[in-house]
Amino acid sequence: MRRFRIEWTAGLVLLALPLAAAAAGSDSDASPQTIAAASCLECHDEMATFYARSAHAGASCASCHSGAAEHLADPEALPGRPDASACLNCHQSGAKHMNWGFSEHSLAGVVCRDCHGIHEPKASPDSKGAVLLKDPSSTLCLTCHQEILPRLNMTSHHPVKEGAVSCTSCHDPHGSRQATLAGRNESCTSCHQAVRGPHTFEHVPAAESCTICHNPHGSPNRRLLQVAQPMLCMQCHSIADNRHGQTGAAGARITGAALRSCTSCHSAVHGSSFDEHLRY
Amino acid sequence: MRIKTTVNEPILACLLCLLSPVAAPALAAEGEAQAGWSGLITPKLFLFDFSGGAGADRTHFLERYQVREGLAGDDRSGLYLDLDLNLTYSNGARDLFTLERRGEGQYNHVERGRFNADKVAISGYYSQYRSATGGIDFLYSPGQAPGGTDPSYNTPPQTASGYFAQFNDDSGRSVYKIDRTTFGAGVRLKPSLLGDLASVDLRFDGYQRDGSRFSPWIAGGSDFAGPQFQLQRWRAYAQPVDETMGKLALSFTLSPGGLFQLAYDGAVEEFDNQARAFSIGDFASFLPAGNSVAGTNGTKPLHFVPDSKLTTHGLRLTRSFGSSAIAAGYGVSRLEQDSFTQRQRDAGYDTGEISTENAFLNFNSHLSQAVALEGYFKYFNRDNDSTFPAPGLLSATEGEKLGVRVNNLETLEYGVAASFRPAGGKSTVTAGWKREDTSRDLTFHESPGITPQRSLYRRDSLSDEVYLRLVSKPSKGLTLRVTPSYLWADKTGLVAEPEESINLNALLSYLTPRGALVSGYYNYMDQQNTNNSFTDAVAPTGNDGASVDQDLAKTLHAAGASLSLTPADGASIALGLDWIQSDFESFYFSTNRRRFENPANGITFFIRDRSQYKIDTLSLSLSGEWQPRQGLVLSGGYTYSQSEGDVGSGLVASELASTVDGTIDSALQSILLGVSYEPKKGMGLWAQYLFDDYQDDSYDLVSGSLHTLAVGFTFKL
Repeated sequence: MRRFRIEWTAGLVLLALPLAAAAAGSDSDASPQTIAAASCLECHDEMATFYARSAHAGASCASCHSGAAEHLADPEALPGRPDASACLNCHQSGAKHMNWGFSEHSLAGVVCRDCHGIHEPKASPDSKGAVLLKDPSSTLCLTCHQEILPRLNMTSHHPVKEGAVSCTSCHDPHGSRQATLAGRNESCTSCHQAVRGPHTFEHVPAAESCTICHNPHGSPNRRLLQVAQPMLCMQCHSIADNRHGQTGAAGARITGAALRSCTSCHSAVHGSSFDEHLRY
Repeated sequence: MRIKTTVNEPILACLLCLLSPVAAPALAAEGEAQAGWSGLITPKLFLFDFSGGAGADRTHFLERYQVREGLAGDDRSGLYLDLDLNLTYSNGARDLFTLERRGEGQYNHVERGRFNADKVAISGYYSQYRSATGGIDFLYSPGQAPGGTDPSYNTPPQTASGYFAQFNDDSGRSVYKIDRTTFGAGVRLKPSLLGDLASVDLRFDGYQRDGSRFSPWIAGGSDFAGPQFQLQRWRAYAQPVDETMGKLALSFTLSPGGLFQLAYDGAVEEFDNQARAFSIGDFASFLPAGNSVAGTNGTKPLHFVPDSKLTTHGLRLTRSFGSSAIAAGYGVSRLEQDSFTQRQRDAGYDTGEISTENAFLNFNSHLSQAVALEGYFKYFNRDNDSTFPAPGLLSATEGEKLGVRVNNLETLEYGVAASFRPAGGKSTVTAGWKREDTSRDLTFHESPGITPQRSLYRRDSLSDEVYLRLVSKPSKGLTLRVTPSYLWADKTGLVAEPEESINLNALLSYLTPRGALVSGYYNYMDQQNTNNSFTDAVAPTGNDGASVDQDLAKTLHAAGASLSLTPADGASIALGLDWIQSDFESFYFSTNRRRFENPANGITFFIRDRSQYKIDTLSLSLSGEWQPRQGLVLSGGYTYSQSEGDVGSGLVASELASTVDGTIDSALQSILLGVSYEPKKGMGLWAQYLFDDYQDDSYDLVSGSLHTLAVGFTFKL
């Protein structure tokens, strides 16, 4: 019953959208063929289709391309390609872009057009390299962040290749680690609420940072672990011989059945409502 | 027989309603902006066939991230239908409405709709995704994997750790899947609607998770009674998953005349767990005759997942002053527990609450064409406001009722950097320094117990890091990025934090005049920590043994090269080769007894061995497209990822030798061949064959492969 309501609700939302579109009609009296644009499109006719239909159709070419008038007078004088400040003239007022100047991308010299196609989409199912990745926007990220692709191909990975999540599910490409109000684990627990707690007995690394134990892009270890068990756990924990050893004596042999998977016993590894030892 | 399709029926019904009245009028011709619908509709047929693996009654390794089911309900071999959509509605002035659907089967599809006008934008999405990683957990569980139990531990019988001799699987099943259905909608009122002064975003996001997970657990030594109680302690069950999440978020941004930007972000999120809760008593019937759950232990809850509510508020401000800018922000959050176990209520534990505060202050300034300065300050505070103590449940004085409680965690982080761009502007060098200072308010268990000296966890962390960031474009098309950094820490609260760390990230890329791109990267990280010790030599606890330091070393290498080019008109190739090595060493400690035992007995920490985890991963990816003639496109792709190495060395390796977990030796590859053909304008045919293969030489049972053939027919509106 619950699922029935959800599906029909989603369907009704999708139904409402084009009705709103029809009701809205043309929101702009300005024809995309403004005087300046018409002058540009005489030569740059390949832009006509995309420009005419894009969200920028109401703007003149000169509003982004500096030196357009000079270029019209002298085609050899090339106009400027818009940098971030040109885009931010219109787009900075949104919450998403207001801290762009402090972002890691901005500090690395990335500009808006490196990721966004102003005239046509840059990330599409036809993008190069999209053959084996189902999400075009993630393919775009990987053109620069090449070291992440091998992680996504490892045996344990977040399902980016399968299309269930994308890079932007966790990362804000316009944001900054230094100018964010998101908590340390917030990116992870926005999907993984079941391990969030609050827990009566917390596991310290889970409370401090998920990435102490997990590599969210991919890992050759099960469950995205940075290092396989038991090594991951043994960096912080000693093992009591009288409960893990073959005999109760100190230094007794500890079986591989115990060492291979600490979480087969200590399964409440993110925290427990009852047990200090995180067994349940 | 009901024909099973993979298209969500209500949404399909809405789509048919949308399209039928509007598809008839003039369609947008290429090169012109005419009102009406345009785009692609692609019905698809998939055929799939799994081979190998652990058997039809257990999860196939290649199912873990995408579960398939054919029309006849078969999840090993079959066929199913699906539909892709990429539709746009234009009002003649601009594209107003887009509708996208990507379908990869009944349990993997996503639909998105967006209405985007000058003054308002409305969006919505719905997706379903089924994963089967729980089934892989089952295959590796102690009852399934070789070496998962050790019968020698039951000699003599009923020893303290005799439970390792037997694993009791009460689940009665071998396949575990979880469905995640996500949905959401949002409205954005753009500045043009609000006098160019403000914008408002209102969003709802939610999900529903259903399924089950394989949950092992171990009973305490006194939880069971009877002649076989030790062998009965190690158990597992099928834990149901039935969760919903709903989040309502509001963003309001004010930007009067571009003077400044002020944003408020607030959200309320509710998480509800409707799954049946289990307790130890639920498994009393699985115990052999003569054994029972002792006393009141039957009400001990297993893997309780509480309902919770998360409320967040944040305020951000950005202001530019000519060539300078500042940004500041402050935010709070509160996570509240909304459901409790009977044991929690009985102990008076009626509040589960974590609250956080975040703040930041950033500035940057271009002092001249050549010089820029930036600085930041960041504050994070986490308070555990949950009930403490709760006698009988959570106490610093009662036995086994506390390890360490993180009452408060506070981090200050700040840094400055200066950038220099020499005349000519082809390079930028940034030099920076940052400091991270964390203090923790901790409550350890009072003696006996996990006193601070018996833990590697410390109250304070203090580290400094200096770095250089070089971005150079010495000639047209050539880009070099190099970022070396060095970190040193006077104090480390966690042994996982570095006491010393050297990092290097380097990337070189060249874009040729003809558009070919070749690039290479190398990333290096070396971390060490010898700061943290068991048993403080200066302030030892009681009769504890000598102090021993943990000595942790981590080294990570990552290198790769890629080439992307267009060798001829209509052809493109991309090739990538990567190598990652992860090397991790630490001491393997054991103790003569548990830390909370009789206080008269000291705890002695032994260094049993030094063990090394070292895994190499080699990855290759190839993709290409070729258009031999108009309307015909051939495509192909190949990925290969091989991981090999030892999970531990020395004593760890020798004990793991009889299990499937001592080494990692696996290879995952995928081959894709595709063809698309457009016999006439507005119509296309395509086919794709995908072969996935997984080989695991450590655990051959999970090796297997998957053939997938997909054919589709594309209508272009």
